[in-house]
Amino acid sequence: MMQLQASSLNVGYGSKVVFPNISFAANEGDMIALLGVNGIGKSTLLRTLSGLQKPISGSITIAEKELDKLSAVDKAKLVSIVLTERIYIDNIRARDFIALGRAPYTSWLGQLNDKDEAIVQEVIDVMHLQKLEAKFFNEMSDGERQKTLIARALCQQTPLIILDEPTAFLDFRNKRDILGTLKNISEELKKTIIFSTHDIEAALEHCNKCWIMNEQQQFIEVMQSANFAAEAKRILEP
Amino acid sequence: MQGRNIIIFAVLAIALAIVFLLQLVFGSVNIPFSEVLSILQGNSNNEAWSNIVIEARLPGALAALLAGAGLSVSGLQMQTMFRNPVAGPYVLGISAGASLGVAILIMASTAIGITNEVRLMSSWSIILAAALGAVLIFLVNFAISFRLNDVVAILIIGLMIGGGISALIEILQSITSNEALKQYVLWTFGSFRYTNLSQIGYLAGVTVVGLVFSYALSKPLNLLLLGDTYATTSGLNVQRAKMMIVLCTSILAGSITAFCGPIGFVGLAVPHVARSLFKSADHRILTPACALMGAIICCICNIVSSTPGTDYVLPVNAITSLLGAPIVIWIILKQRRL
Repeated sequence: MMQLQASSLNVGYGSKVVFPNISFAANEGDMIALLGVNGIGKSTLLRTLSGLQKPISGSITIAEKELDKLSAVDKAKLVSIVLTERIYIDNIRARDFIALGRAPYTSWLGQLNDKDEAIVQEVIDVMHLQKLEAKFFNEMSDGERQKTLIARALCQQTPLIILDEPTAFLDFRNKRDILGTLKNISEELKKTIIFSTHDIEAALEHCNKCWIMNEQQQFIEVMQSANFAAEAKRILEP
Repeated sequence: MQGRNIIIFAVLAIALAIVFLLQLVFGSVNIPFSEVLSILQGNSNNEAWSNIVIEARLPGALAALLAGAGLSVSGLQMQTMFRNPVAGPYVLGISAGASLGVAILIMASTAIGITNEVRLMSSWSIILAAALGAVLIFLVNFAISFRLNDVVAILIIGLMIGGGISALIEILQSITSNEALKQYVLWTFGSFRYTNLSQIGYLAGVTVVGLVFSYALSKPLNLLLLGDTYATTSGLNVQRAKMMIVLCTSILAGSITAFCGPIGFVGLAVPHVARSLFKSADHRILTPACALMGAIICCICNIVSSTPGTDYVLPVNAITSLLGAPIVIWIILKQRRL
């Protein structure tokens, strides 16, 4: 099923177009790496896809709903995000942090019902976070923290998950670990995952296609193939 | 909720009941505990003691309880909203604004020759001037902070506005009479005894409404812990939520400062102690926890300030600061990321 579609999208701020004419489609189970040099507009595109800012023109549909026309809560049921920015929260345990992902579904006081609890437990099991769930968020390693953030996003039960440079602060082993986890999520839970990254080799090993925003302001999709990495690099650095 | 938290809540509630009653026991004359209980039940024959407990001590005891609860909850909300561990009601310039209002009232009115025959400290004019000043400065800070998304910038602007107000007050002080100056300085000491029994009802009403409102804001506050971007993508209308929080916190801190004068450090320190004690970041737990702990601390400060057995009354603001400053240093040493 086609989960995400964008046509003739111009993204930017106010009337200033940062990157023009973006069109794409993504299916459930797609894991997509978004590549491009710093400042090209990756973050602007991801913010637009997250519903944090409106496109200057063009439209985005997720699960056959037009993103622009939805309320904040309905958007939150379609897209969840994981940011690079560090979060400091004292005295919050991983399980409670992950459970915040249920916010779009809980009552005005944020009380979890049995169904919410079951979903939180399911996510913890899928992500193999059983040993981590009682740990305090501020006492975690970078890799553990990243997994907790991804688990929170999963609890939001959205068809689309967007990650901004999920491997930026991680060492080699953790990078592989996180990308492998994301790949499993996209395949097993039928999620569409889009992540921006500069770790081209590691990313291309795990994703099934990549989107490249190059300096000629072209938006190009490259499918997984035998010379995937070479092809991607050729478009990225002509 | 975990069993451990229920036990802590129960212990805190009992502690609050005890320190609240001890406020009625201690003072320039110490009245036996059993006598206080019978006065409260209305079966005492000792009219002098009865008057002291009901007329003199009970309003102050209630004000301490309400002020401690309200200021601490207000501080908790500020710290979460600004994502800053050293935020407190002063960030919104509430104490500074209230001080300016009172300074203008006391000093200007004596300067133009209005003599106050009423005892100024408990008069409605002081309360209104303080509330007006607090609301005015709060609106200025609020307008600025809404345009800026930068936490540090908001804090610095808050400090600068506070600095400007202090300067204005100093100018007022230099051109005013000694009598007016003394009244103003006494007000800045902070005290839970400014209020009388008829006024305490207003303070209680506003504080209780503010506390219930605060608890109802638990979910937005919990989401704001994650930052604006996560909160927005979790379905929260961040602008509206922040507006409600600012409204709530300023109602609490503004009215309490209006009735009790500036009470420093309580709103800043108590939320940290509550977080450490309950090992939680959940506002559904922290809001009642801060209310209880803040009330206990202010009741204790009220007892200390009355220096039992003597006629001295120490400034409450000085006592809360002496108690609070080490806690703030402890926070910084513990976090080392300011």
